[in-house]
Amino acid sequence: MKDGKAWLSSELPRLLEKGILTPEAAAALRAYYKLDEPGQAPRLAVVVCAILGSTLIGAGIILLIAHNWDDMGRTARTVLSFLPLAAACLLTGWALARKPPSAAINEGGGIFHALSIGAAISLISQTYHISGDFPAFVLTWSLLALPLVYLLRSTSVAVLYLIGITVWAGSRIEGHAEMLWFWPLLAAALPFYGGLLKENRVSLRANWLSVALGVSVLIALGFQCGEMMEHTWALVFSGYFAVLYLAERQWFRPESAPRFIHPFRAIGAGGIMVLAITMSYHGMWGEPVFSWKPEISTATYCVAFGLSYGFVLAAAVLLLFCRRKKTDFNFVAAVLPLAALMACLLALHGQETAVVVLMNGFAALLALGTILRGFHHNRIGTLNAGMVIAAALIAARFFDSDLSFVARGVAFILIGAGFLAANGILLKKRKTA
Amino acid sequence: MTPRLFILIPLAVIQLSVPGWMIYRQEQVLQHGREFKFQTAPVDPTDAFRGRYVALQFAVATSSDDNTPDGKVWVRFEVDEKGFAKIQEESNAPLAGDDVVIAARRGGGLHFPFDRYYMEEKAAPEAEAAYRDNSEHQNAYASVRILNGHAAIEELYIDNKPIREFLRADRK
Repeated sequence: MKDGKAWLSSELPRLLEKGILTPEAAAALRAYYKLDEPGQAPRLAVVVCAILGSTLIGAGIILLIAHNWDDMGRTARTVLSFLPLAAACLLTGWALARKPPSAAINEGGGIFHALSIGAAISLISQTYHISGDFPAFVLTWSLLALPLVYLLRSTSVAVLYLIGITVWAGSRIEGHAEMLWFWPLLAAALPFYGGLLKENRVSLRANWLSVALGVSVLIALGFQCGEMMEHTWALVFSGYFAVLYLAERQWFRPESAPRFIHPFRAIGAGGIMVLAITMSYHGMWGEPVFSWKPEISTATYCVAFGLSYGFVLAAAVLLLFCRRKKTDFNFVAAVLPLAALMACLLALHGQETAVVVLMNGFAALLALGTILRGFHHNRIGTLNAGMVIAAALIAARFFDSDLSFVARGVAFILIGAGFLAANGILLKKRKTA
Repeated sequence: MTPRLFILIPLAVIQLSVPGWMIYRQEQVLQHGREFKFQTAPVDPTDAFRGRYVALQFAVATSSDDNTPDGKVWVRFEVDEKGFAKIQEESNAPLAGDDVVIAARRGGGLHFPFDRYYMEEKAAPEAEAAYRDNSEHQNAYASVRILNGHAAIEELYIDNKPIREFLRADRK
């Protein structure tokens, strides 16, 4: 669309010159296509440049100060360590006083301010040879930067904050109960995210934060499952992916850009595909015994279970909600948590064979359902996603079975032919339509 | 003045006071703390140097008390006949005094809050090499000030000379 506007802008003078359009018609066209209004693109470029520029300048100043250690006394070094942070505070003050506020200055200044907090702490640590405690450092840094998110309405600082608290959760992984503080820390950033969604739920800023949020929760769930729910991690993840997938279907489908893939869909649908194949492996379901770690308290377990299995429950609620709202979604993909729950229950009762049959059946159903959806909605992307699931499932089974090379070869040729045929049929259907 | 600017002022004060507090605490320890000399132990060469600092290992870093569980420990030091620090007692309950440091105990080893000596990135590799050679001959020690659980490294000595002086003499 933007390219079209640029093209029209460049063509209008020529059309006027040749007398094809009257000046009134040209003006009407300009007004209709809003050609004279500044587009979104240059402003976005300025914001991106501001973020990159201030990150580089911040890093450069920090490196310069960090270099000249030995030539200066302790007092001089100490004063110098404060300078970037003091300058950042003034810069933020200037950004806040500006009217109208500038997104580029707020984002760029915010990044610089957030980085200089970490710089001041670590430069002082170096001056005084404090070995320090890395988790405490990251947490202090993140918490001190958090108010900047709200003060400057800065998405880039929010992304830094999410990275910070995720790194902190990872570094406190043996501190079980302590790690669960990740969730309240995450919740502290949610009002800002909510505000962005309220403004425009598919804006670029909201999308960036969606990526950071989706990945950071994924990683934190991984830490949590690794420590406390080793045997049901697949269930927890299936719930999380289904929640993201359904949320995208229900609330994040931009009507204006139907081809755009929202981060929640990329993580949710991608995760469902990978998980469906992973769970079809026999090796996934060995030793289903639940091992309680004595050093973890019951209360900690309860909170962790609530926060993890909560996603499974949320997926179920969301599924019913989407059904009632008649939202268009892949039903098989959305019931992955149910399949995972059945698999976990069967595994707990030692029914490994049944689990493997169930999960292979589920993956096959998912492939078939997705392919049919692709045909039904006339979407090549969906069709191919289904074919990829089918191919991955068949390939996975071939590599852990003892079939001869000839059989495998023939099977792969058949899958390949199926791929081509399905795409061909869909393309033909499109042409005739 | 917009309300946001009003919020910025206390925020800036809090942000600046965190490094400020770190400086204050370390300065207190350096000025009022009791001085101990910690004999360094031979180091694992791959582990010693991490780019910008010399990772110090100490002769007293092995826990003497097998009954103390892992985690936070309070360690009281005394001075041995050669003038170096020696562990007097270890405790999981808080101890106080100008000879107590809060350390972390992991698998029988004690990790003190003063195991890094930061240097300029050019000098750090040379310092690390000198430190490694001299630790083997028990010729290196760190002078550390201690006060109420906190510690601050004053200087790293090799062959009884401050590290920078030693390196300058070594280069000649």
